[in-house]
Amino acid sequence: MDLSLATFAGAALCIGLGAVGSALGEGLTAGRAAEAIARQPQAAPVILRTMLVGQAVAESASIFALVVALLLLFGPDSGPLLRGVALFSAGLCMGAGAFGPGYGSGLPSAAACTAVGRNPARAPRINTTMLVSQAVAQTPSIFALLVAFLLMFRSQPPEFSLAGAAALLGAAIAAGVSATGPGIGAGFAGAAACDGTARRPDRAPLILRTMLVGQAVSQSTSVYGLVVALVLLYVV
Amino acid sequence: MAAEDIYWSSLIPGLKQLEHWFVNPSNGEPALHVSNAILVVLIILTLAFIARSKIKDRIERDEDLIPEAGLTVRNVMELMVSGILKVMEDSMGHVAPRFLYLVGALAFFILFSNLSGLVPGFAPPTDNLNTTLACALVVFVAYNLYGFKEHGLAYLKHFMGPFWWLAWLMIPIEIISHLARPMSLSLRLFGNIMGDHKVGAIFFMLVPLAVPVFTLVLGLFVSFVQTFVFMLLTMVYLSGAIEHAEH
Repeated sequence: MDLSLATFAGAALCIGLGAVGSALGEGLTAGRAAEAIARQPQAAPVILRTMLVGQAVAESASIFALVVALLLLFGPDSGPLLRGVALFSAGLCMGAGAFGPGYGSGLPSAAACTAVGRNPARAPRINTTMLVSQAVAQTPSIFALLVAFLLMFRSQPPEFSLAGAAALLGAAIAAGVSATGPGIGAGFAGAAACDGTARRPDRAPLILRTMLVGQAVSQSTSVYGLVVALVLLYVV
Repeated sequence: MAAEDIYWSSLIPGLKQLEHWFVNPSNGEPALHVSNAILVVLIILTLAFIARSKIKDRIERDEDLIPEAGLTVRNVMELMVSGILKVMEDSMGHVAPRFLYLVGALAFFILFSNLSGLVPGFAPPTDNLNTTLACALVVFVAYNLYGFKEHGLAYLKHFMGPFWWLAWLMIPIEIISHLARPMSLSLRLFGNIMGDHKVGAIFFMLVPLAVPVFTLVLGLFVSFVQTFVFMLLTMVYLSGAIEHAEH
C-alpha cells in the first residue's frame, strides 16, 4: 500500500522536533560568546573559534534528524502497513531523540565561550573538555539514530497486527524520549567541567575524568531506553 | 539523479571490478565506499611520497631542512603533520609522538575522505557506516591494547570506578559506556558526513546555481570539525587508557 502518509508525517515530525534542541543550544552559545567578547574584546578570535566549533558539534543532533527525514522523504513509498508504522516511528524516534542532546551539547559550548573569555591562554584545554563533553552529550541521540535505522531498514511482516505496531511505536518512544534527560544532564556536567577547566587548568585531567565518570552514570538511563527499545524490536 | 552516475573511481582499472565484487546484497548497489577509500588512500600516498622525496636526500646526508617557498605539496603536508602533532601535544602531553602514527593516519584518512565528498565525482568513503565503523574499531582495539600494555591486568581497575565498594554498580555502566564508544564514534562521523552530502545533493537538485556554494562551505567546515572530533576522542580514549591514577 501507499506509505506516503507515514513517511511524510514521520519526516516532518523528525526535523520539526529535531531542530528545536540544537537551535536552542547554539543560540545560547552565541549569546555567551557575545557576552564574553564584550568583556574581553582582545580575545575575540579565540572565543569566536570556540563558538563556531561548539555550534558545529551541537548541530550534529539536528543533522541526524535531517538525515532520517531525508531518508524518509526519498525512501520507500510502498509496502505493508506495518512498514509504514515503522517508518513513522523512525521519524518520531530521531525527532524526539535529537532534542535533549542538541540542547545538552549547546550547554558546554556556551560555558566554554565564557571560560575561554576568562582564560584565553588555556583555550586548547577548554576546547578539549568542551568537545569531549559534547560528544558524550550526543551519545543518546546516536542511540536514537541507531533505533531509527533499525526501524527503517528492517523488513516487516506483511500482515498487520496491533501488537506489532505498538512495539514499533513503543521502541521509538523508548529510545527517543529517553534521550532527552541524559542529553541535557551530560550537558550540565560538561558546562561545569568547562568552567572548572578555566579556573584550574592544572587539574584539567582530573576534571575531565570526574566529568566522564559522572556522565557515564547519567548516560546509563538512556541505555535503559535503548535496551527497552531493542527488546521491543527483537524480543516481544 | 542521472541514470548512470559517473565516478572518478570507475576510471581506474580494477577499482570498478572491485565495486562489483562487494555489491550490497540487499539492494545491489556497487560498493563505492571501498573503491573510493582506496582512491583516497592512493591520493594520500602520492602526496606523502612527493613530500618525502623532497626531504629524503637531505635527511640521509644529515643536512638542515630548508623550507620551500610558496604553496607546495611538501609545505602543505608539513603544515598538516605539525598541526596534528600540536593538537595532540595540547591534549595528550609528552606521549603524543608515540601515537602520532595512529591518530595522524586516522586524521589524514578521515579528513581526505570527508573533503572528497565536496568534489563532484567522488563518493566520500566516510558516508558509509562500514568505513567509519572500521576506523572506530581500530581505535577501540588500540586503546584497550595500549591500556593492557601499560598497566597489565591492573588496567581492569579502570572499569571499577572511583571506589571499590561501588564496583558492582560501576562495572556494568563502564562496560556499556566503553562499548558505546566505537558505536558513537562511527555513527557520529557517518551521520554528519552523510547528512552533509545528502543536503548538498538536494540543494544541487533544487537550485543548481550559486545556492549550493553555501552547502559546500558548510560541508568544508563540517569535514574539518568532524575530523577534529574523531581525532580528539581517539586521543582522550588513548590517554584515558594509559594514564596512571593520581594519588
